[in-house]
Amino acid sequence: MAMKKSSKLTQTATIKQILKRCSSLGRKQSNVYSEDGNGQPLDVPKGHFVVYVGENRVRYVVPISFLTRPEFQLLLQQAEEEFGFDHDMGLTIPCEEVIFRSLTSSMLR
Amino acid sequence: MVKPCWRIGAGIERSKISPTKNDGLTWYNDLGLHAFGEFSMAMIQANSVMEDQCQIESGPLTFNNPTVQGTFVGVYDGHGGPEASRFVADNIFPKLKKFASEDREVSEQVIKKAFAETDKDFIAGVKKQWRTNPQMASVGSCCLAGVICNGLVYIANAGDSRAVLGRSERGGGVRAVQLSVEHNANVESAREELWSMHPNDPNILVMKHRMWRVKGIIQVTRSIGDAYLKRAEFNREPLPHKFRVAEHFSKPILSADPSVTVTRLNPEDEFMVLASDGLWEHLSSQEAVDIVHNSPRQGIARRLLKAALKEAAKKREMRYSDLNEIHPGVRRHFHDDITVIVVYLKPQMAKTNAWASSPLSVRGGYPLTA
Repeated sequence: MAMKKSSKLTQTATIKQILKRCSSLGRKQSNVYSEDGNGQPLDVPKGHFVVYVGENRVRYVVPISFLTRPEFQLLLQQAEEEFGFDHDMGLTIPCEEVIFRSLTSSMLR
Repeated sequence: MVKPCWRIGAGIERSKISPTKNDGLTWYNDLGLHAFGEFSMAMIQANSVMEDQCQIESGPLTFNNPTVQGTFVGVYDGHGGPEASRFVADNIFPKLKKFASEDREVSEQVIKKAFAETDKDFIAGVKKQWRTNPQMASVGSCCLAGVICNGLVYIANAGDSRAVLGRSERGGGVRAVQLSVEHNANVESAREELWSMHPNDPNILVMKHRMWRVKGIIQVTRSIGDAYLKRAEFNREPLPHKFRVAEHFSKPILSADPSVTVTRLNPEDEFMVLASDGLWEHLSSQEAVDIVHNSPRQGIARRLLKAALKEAAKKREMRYSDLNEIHPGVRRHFHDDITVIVVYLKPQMAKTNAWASSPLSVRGGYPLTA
């Protein structure tokens, strides 16, 4: 389930992995950050970061390239209006998961 | 603009002095000299326009009394736009000098007057632009000012920036001593103060998204600017609705009056760290002084900045190297604008005015990205 840092991901594989739902991670266990000896996150590949989506705060690993996309910036704007910038439990996107998935998958095409 | 004005006193290793530099979103001065020792400054932009400003001034603190020499340090964390923090950076030090000249000395009252007049003048400017630029009424800035003079350090604070003293301990190591009082609704004393000043307003503080906010809008409880929360005349059209307070108010909700602490410097007092809350949300006071104590002076402010950014990256479960790729604007979702100034102290020099002939003026934070 965790992504391997070294694996070269094809686009489809990336989509699958990004949209993979980490069902074990719910509200209580929001930030499961763990790192290797060099202080690098274990299950987040280079060039990616983590957001928590929807009411259940489901964890998604997304590429930082999304940050330049207007659709994703709109989601962040929503987050800002809803929560401000104080996300002590991880960057939370107040958006239904279905919508988030369809938006992000279209961004990978 | 950044205006380095280097006239270095005798006996100083010139090779150690670094010029100010701008590297992408980071602005820094790795090592410079102020009246009583060395300093290091660093800033990083996260907002689409840099809202933090800072300055260090060293030399005469009055226009008419050459015996009053010292160092002035300012950290200004703007919100709602960069105009208030820039205004503070342009005006507060000259005002401090003006009032210190009238009294022929620096005092708590002189510093308070400088804050009050800076706020008054900024709000007068807001009023002038009210018809053409009403959003200016919602622009404000935290203001942290430190003055080292005559063996004393004055720390005046309005807002949630913080100044910490690194005091060496007998058994080794350095202890963090907080010198500033913080005005943020999430600090209990700040809430108590607001509740006691507005006993008839049940909505003076509202918990929103797990954070206390004044009138449900803003976390800081004292600031320069924020005219819309100081004078009811700005709490109306054409100011955008999100900045308006539902109930009419007659007395100011926010105040520009700083909390001032005065500390006599001792030989154990090694340095001060002054920073905007962008740093302190990722580093504790003790973590910061430990880093300063255990690292070389050259580039120490940038080292603190990096430590904070590494924490910020950790909170977003990402690599520090990836965080550095993120552009201003969206970057604000990862961290705030950060300003940090480390001022090393030599208390024996603070008493003797040894470097009176070396005035210095460094300003940081002017538009890094327009």
